[in-house]
Amino acid sequence: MQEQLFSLLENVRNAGDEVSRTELNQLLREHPEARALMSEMLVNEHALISYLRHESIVSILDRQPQVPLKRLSDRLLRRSPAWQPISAGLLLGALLGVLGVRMVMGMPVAEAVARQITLADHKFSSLDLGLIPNRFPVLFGEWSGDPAEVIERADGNRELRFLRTANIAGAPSGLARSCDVFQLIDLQPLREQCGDTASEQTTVLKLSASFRQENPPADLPDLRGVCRISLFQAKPESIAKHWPGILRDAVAVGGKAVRLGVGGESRISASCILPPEATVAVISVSMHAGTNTGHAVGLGDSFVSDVALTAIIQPAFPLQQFH
Amino acid sequence: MPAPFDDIRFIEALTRYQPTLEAYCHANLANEEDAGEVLQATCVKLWEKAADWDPDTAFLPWAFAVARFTILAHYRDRKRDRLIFDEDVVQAMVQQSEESSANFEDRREALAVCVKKLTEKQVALLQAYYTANQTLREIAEASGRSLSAVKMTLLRIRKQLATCIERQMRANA
Repeated sequence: MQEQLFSLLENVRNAGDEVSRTELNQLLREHPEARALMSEMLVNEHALISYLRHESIVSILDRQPQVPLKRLSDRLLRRSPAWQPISAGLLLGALLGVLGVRMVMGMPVAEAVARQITLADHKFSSLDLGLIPNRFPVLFGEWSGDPAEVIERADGNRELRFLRTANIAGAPSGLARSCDVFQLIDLQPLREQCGDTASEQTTVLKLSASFRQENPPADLPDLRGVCRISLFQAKPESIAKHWPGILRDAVAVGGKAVRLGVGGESRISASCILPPEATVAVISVSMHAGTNTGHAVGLGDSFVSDVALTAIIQPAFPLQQFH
Repeated sequence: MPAPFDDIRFIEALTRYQPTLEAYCHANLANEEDAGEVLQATCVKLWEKAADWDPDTAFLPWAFAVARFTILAHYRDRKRDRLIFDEDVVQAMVQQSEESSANFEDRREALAVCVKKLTEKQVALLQAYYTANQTLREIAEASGRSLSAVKMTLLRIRKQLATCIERQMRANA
């Protein structure tokens, strides 16, 4: 039966064969064991695709040298003055490589290309030392949010220090659980630079950041670093005006959290698929107090650095192809 | 700063189980692109409803329920000719899909071991079909083999992997 199910499924996928589709559905409708087999087959298939996709990206990153990055064009910067604050950190990446699937059973096959484009590898180098604006950002490329400051380490590298939990732009009675710092990203230049054609490729946005904790307050032993990315089809001013309620209108979201512990340090990544309708990304890095305190609390020496937003562009997979 | 998804335990649970949810979507749609779309819509719904989840209860059954409704909504939104399964079949497969997906992480771990046992040619065929945008017919034409021969080879590899995954999972258990 497994062979029959596989054959029918591939007939539908590869040739859009309506007779096979009817037969496949009839088989699944009438035989519980066929449903069990099909479910298991598809979960295994997804595990396989996930594995192959991961291996492809890893091999690209491992084998290909990083091509020198270039700035966004002046045209793009002029198009939106809001890009200016992060222009120094907003770098275009380049072709990382070609997925080397050249031979199948001794015969050459077409190449699949995956690209990684670095949007923002922000090390806070373009910011003034000291407090960041204490409000939700209204311009693209601006770091602002709850109380936090840019500091310079002894080695000259910069990082952002979370000062205390707060409730900026939240409901007046809201809880002050975390210190959140935000940046708005215009996705249009990314699309232009990627030559994004949604039907032919899938783009995944990945937000990464390094969190560090030293000397946590005795009453806050459970601090956690959090990365979040939310995508909207909206204007930045509208997002700022309606935050956080507008989160309900997000077209895609991703998040990742890590417990730091005393002296803890960890780099984490959150990711989500970039849908064609998304126009603006809100990225945030936060230090969460791990407690539902209703008032602001100091966060000791807790830091975030090396915040990067990356777009990973993969060719579309063939499973949905019909002729 | 309060937000609808501000609960750290919710973020941790969603992060942990997102691959499982994606596998569940794929098991119901048999199409990687649709599964990605539905997963994203499911995540948005989960974040909207984060306050409904009791962190002292299991996350996955609740998330499966939300994903199920999202999949069915996807079925109603899409034209029939874009879909592989009929809606009543998806509803009939729900139980099996949840059971198969629930241990997705174990399956993926087992698969990583099993793929390493394949020959280079076998892996190349999988790459060509599952990541390099090649149809079976294109692979057949490029290799000078018949379509049915390529399909049979792919089936044999998939069977080999399925057997190995089950064996590996039993050993790990």
